[in-house]
Amino acid sequence: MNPTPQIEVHVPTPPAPDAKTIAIQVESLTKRYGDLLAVDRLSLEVPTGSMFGFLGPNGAGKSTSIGCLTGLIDPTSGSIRLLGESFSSDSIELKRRIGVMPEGLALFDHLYAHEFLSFNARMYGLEEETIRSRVEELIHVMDLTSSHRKRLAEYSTGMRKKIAFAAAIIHRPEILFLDEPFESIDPAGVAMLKDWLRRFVSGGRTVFMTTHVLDTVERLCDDVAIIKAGRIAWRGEVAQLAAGGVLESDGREFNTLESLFLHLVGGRYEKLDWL
Amino acid sequence: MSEGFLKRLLPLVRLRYRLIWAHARTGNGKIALLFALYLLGLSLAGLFALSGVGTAVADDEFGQKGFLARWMLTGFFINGIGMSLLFGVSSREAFSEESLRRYPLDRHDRFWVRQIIGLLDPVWLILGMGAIGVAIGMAVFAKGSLLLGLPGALLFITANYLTTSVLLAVIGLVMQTRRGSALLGVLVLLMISFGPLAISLFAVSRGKSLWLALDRYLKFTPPGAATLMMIGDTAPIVFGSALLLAAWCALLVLALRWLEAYRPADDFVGGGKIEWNDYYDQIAGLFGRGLAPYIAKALRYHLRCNIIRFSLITSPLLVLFGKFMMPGRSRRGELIITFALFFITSSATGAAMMLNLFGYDGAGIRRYAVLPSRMVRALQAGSIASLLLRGVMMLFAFLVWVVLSAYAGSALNLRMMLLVLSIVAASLFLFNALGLWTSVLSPKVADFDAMWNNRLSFGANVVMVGGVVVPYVVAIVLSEKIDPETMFRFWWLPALLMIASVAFYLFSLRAVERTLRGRRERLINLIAGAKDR
Repeated sequence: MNPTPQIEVHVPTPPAPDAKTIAIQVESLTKRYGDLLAVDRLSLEVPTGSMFGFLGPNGAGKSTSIGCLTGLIDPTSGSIRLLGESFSSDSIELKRRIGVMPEGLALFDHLYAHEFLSFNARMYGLEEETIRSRVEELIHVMDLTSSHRKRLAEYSTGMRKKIAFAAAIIHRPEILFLDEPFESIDPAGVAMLKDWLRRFVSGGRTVFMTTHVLDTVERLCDDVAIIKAGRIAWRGEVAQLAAGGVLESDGREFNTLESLFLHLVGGRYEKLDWL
Repeated sequence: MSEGFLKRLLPLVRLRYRLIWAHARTGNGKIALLFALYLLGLSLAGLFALSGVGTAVADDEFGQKGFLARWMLTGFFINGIGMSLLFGVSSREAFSEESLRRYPLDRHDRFWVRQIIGLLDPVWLILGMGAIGVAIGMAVFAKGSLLLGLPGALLFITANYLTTSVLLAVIGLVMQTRRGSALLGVLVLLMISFGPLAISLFAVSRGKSLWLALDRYLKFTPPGAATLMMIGDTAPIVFGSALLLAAWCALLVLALRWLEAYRPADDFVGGGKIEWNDYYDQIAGLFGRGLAPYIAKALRYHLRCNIIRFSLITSPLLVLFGKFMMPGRSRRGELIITFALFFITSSATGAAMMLNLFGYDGAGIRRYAVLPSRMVRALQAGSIASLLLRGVMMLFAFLVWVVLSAYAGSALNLRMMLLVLSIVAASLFLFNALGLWTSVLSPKVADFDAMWNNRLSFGANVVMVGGVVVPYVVAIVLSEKIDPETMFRFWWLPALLMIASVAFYLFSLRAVERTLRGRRERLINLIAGAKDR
């Protein structure tokens, strides 16, 4: 048995952080759709320069939460601070400092790749010279040169993800919000994106991502929160797993993120007798 | 057709009507509207049937031997095509070739399912009632045979549906390519420039002989063959006509299958250098850094969307309708109708996008909310891009009208031209302003690639139909009451209307933001929800 490392858990309310070192600070975030409580008094902080994994089963409230953090959705109550400033859907200046790969990718399907990327770059106020060089470089490194005269609607799902990712990073944001960034991308592409994200974070920037690929989270993220039914069920560091450490919850130890995840959200092992 | 085809077809037909019902009950008052539309459809079908019977009676009364019936069926035939072009009549997206692939149907089955479901569209049922009315009239009043007339009517409506489908498939294919759409544009412009004038001059010079000559050829077309079946004179004629109709249908089916299988070479695919600062960016650049990216995107969306391109290209055709297609009207009548048509065309050109500015964005609408800009800027830019394109096309229509009027020897004066320009501007600004509101208050998910089945929301339809019906009725009422001199004395009235429209547009550009804020999430969920991947 490996020695049990001490895991810092911030549930339900985190200790008061130093605003200068916190990139994302959420307090009692609640989103209600009629009778449905999608996000229930969610509170968390993400330190600057970290890679944060936001996990949960389908319908747990991940996309709603990330929607509130990026201005796509107005929360019913609660507060959000990004980079030390209060954030709402009207925070135009703050939005310039974040990059978003939203749910459904939010592409304009009938533009070409370079048109879509330069549209985004112009919206973030980049100079024309910079726009051209970055767009051409991104299209080249994403291996989309041969397809750049196809409209985005004709791209494969993986290619569409790459374009959405490129649009999120083109202005070198300080915080990057990624909603399921790796699904459907080929292994070489995923390896490249991971490498970019590591470099992005080592440069003092912050990544907040949701994904269902737990192995990736284990290897990539520093911090993880698992959300269930709109509330944080677990929060802690996962980096020690790589060094043979374990994660702890409800007095039990877990040596993989997957086993912890299944413990928290409930595993489903129903049999189909007819199959 | 594969074994059990009918067994699989019936659930799909049922599904089609369930979808219509499900779609109708999603909003308040829509069920009532659906019933009202069905009642209207039934009334129309009844009227068509009665007009068919009436034609048969008149034919018999005047000893025309099917002359009137033939032309009546030709009228139905042209109406079927026209209504499909105008209102986008075709099977719904749920029954597209792609959607049907999930069902256990082979390629042939899918083709037939689509055609059968398309043929069940209310337009064909209404027109079919008209054809059946003619058959009944012929049987009762002109010694025809209902036993032969009814199959004739059914074959006629099938041929009408298939002809429309072939025509739509051809236009759809042509519009898919850059060269093709340019070619179609040239053809339409030639048709606009010389077609109506040529037809009108030809008809005037030939008079009755023209109709008699055309009637001889009409006997070999679906309306002519169907009429001969309904009259049922002799067995060889009936048999020959049935064979002719069946041959038409078979040929059209073959043409449709060939067109659907045909894939034009994609002239967009391939590598090459990126073209920077194209016309879209140059034009958008005139509007400042805040709006320019949105305007460039909106211009691209307008000019890449087939239904909008087609609407923009054909707009000058409609305004010339009043001048050259309504012979016999007095000068004052003609002038007022022309003014009304300029107003109507200015309101309807590119309306599918103008009245539903977010509807074509799909999941892309979410991007507006996360970008560092107020969402209303996207709406404003879309509206300005639409106004720009519609304005250019209407200006072109105006120039064509001036040139052709001068060529035809009509008296033109400055006040007349000012009147037309004021009417055009008033209509453009008024409907662009209304479009801002319908885009927020009554949006609808639209299929960017669909040429013909993009139906607007109820609210947008009310605006669009209002923009057609109101000026038309006003023009009809006024056309014989006001003389041109009185009109020219009040030349400032349309100018005032124009100023009021511009003011309303400028007000709406700002005022719509508050409503948009209130409905932002609802709007995003509605438009993006159905388009997630």
